[in-house]
Amino acid sequence: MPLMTGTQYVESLKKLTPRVYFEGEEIQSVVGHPLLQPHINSAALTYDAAHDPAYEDLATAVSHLTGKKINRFTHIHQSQEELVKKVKLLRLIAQQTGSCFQRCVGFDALNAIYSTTYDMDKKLNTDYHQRFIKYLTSVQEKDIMLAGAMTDPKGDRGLNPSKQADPDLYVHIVEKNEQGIVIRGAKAHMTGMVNSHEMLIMPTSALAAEDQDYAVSCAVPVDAPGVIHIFGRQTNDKRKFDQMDQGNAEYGIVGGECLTVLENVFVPWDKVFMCGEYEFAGSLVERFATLHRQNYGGCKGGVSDVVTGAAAAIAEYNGAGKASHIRDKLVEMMHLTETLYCCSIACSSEGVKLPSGAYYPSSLLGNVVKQNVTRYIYEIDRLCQDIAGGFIATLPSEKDFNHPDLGQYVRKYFVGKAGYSAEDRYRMARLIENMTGGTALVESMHGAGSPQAQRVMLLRMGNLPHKVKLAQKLAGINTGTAEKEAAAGREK
Amino acid sequence: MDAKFTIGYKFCGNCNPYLDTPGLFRDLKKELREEIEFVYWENAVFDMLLIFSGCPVDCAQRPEFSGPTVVVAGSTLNYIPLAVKDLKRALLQEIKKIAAL
Repeated sequence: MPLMTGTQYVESLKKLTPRVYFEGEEIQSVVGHPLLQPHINSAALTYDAAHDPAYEDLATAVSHLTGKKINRFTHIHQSQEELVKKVKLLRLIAQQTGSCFQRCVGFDALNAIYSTTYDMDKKLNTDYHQRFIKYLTSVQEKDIMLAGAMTDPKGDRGLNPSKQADPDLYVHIVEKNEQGIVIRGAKAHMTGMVNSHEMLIMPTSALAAEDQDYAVSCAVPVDAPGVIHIFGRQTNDKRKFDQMDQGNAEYGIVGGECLTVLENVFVPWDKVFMCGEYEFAGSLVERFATLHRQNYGGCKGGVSDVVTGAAAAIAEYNGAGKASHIRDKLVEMMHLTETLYCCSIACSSEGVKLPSGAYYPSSLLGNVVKQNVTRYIYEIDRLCQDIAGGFIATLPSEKDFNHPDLGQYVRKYFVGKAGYSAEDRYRMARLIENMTGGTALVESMHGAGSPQAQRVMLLRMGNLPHKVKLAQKLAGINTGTAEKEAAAGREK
Repeated sequence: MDAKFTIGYKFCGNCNPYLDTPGLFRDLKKELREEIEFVYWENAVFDMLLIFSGCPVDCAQRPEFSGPTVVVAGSTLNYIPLAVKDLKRALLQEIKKIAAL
């Protein structure tokens, strides 16, 4: 029955046996491990929101396949309104977690593969779309969490996949037989992979004929034979073994990313959604990228809401809450946050219906969302650090804060305004320190595509020739025969 | 004994609320517990629909219902702006009027 609770989701993870490594040691149980539990808690909220009347309008949808109520993270968008609801859902959950909750990557992969398989079948007379619908129905029914697995390690960025010195630098098909295919390679920066149920593999770039073995899309369980996950080092990751010093102890910072190695992994045909159809690789990549870039005004908007609240709180605890320059910086933070949100709402409202019937955000405006996020998060976080003060970077540890002898000094000398405890000030400082530095910033820069990727798309879709004609017309410049004849026609 | 007047309630998704609508709903239930039965809108039969939206955008999706509907959207009641401090009292009055209490 659809709609797991957060508790049921966590219990379902215990039934899986993914091979996860960190610092050379295999993690025996994902659930309960301090390094991973905050990310599990964040993802669990995507499940619990569906059961809360206060959030249910955003967190659930009606499946166009079955008519049943499902978690929105397993839904194919059926209208512009649903594209908007997606953004609002992301902001809502981000406000609650202050962190990445990972499930949107698989959500976007579902939508991208849905529409691309439809197009493939229409042109090539394949049967991927019906196969995918069967898979999607199962995903909705079981309410599983999917990791969107697109980014290959890529090696020499100047060479196509088939020209790389090591063919495994992009995931590729090494064997096909009657039962299915075997794939080999790795996917990098895999958000939420270790606490997902399955991954959806997609190619990472447009491909040429010689790269057809790299044109592969399929569903793989995270604990399939041959799959290894090497969890990434991230800023302050050892703080997850602390409490107060972690800042956001329940939900962590960023989504928790890993390198997922695929060593000759078998995939049965019913889970294969692209196998050599290289001419559609670019379309799949672009659709996923747009769907994912659409999100950031929602999720980073929600995270920035928390950062803004933290800045206002620490200013008050510091005794500087009424200063006009503080208020002005808070205004700027809110302005930038709502600008990001505006962009995501706009790209959703300008969404279009694809031949498959699924709705898809404006590609141009989706790239605007992400391009702005690559800059504004740095400024929002900079302003927060400005307001908080340098002590966020020099605070003694929580061990010292709680030390029977030393704690008295830490409490005495880090107290702020009367009415607020030193512990309140300490905790808020740690939240700010962890939310505004290191990995959180890099994720905003590169998640869903690096800045240059958006600029390439903006140049492609910005309709520059039309803009040139507008200027020429207003400047009174006749540029061609058609215009001259039209002008001559008007004179007669 | 007459059956109580039944109100079906629905929230928007509270993505960025300006009003604590769950809190307002809790207060409302407390005030009207003798006279009104509140039911969650889904798969329910009710005499009146009450929509709680956390901001004036009021994007809560409406279920199909042809009876009286009261909408709280941010600090507005049926799209009339009110001070937040006056909202609860005005909402109570409106409900009592419709329920003939």
